[in-house]
Amino acid sequence: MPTIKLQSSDGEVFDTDVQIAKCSGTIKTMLEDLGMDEGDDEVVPLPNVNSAILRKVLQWATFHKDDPIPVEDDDSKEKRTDDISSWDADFLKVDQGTLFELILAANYLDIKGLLDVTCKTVANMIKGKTPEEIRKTFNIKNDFTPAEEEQVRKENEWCEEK
Amino acid sequence: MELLDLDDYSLTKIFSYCSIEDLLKLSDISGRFRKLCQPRTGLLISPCMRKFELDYRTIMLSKEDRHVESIFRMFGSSMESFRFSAGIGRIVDERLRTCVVYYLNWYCKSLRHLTINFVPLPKWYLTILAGPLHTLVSLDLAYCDLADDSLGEILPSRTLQLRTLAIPGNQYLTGAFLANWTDCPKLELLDLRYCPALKNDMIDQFLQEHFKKHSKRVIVVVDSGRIWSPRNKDIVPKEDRSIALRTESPELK
Repeated sequence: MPTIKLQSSDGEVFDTDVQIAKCSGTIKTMLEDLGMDEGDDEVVPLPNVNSAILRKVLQWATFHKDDPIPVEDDDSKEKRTDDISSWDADFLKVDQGTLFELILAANYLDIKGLLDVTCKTVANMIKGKTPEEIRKTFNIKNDFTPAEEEQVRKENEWCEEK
Repeated sequence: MELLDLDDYSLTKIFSYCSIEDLLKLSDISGRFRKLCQPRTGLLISPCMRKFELDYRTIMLSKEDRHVESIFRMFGSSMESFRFSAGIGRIVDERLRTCVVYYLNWYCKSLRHLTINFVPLPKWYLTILAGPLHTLVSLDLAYCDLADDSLGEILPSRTLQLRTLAIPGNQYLTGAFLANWTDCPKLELLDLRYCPALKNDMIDQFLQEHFKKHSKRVIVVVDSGRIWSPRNKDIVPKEDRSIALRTESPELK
């Protein structure tokens, strides 16, 4: 089975099955555009992904390597968040920092399936919460000025009452 | 790493999975979130911002028409489709009816599909609704107690892009509103079911005028789905007289 070497930002090299690595649109394009052949000893540098996150990404890609190519989003249809598979749900039982780093890595590596499922997971953490609960959950500081805050309060009293 | 460390693209991708209520709450959290949730910035593309159905019962239970204003204020500019029905009992709060009609006029500048059912719309309300009328491709005002004079005033007021006008169940309409309405070149379907006061000659005259001006046939649905068959065969040329066997009532796309 042909493999390539992926190097994380902290220098760790991952010997990876080419089929799995090509789940990433970024790596696939690199291999094609730079004419890197499978089996070459050249290392593909991934300066935006550290080893802990790259390991997780490769774990996800290994499980999903035989999935059909994801279709483009249809912006006219409402997007579901209740269709996360149990494997993905278990896989994403991680701390918030890791979850957000996975989103950034999925975005950088152009892995649509992983980006979708990680974003859905965060959206599920937002849904149904009041603004204050959302702030608390994600440790977000209120950066509104008192005047803006008053304006916001007036505009949206309805959701504080719920 | 925290949520706010994510770039705008990732945040808007997350927000695109949220409902309109969640987006309103997110816009309350921080200035950055508020900016990302604004349709005018064009960063967030979410289906819920374009297509909105007002749940009458929920609104009435919460007694909060301010919620309705928040939705229109925030997302009205990007809203393409709006649907509101007071249900067969036509129980509609006066204040809510006024708000909906005014907000549609103020905030919705690119609305394409408008459905208001079972909400009585006297002349005053209909005049306000003339505002968003010019961008609409489908208008459904079923069971709204419409009157010929008010409808006849707003429809010919300017060139309309309407393809479908559905006004079934308006028992007082005689069809007189059609008399001066000729400036709607794209009209394809006119749903006049359950309008018992309709006069045949009004429909004939409308079809004749419309065909003369636009060389285009309009399908008129009357009674229980029966398609209007013009008695005056001069209305459409012989080769264009075929009548479809069945026409579905217009649907919101």
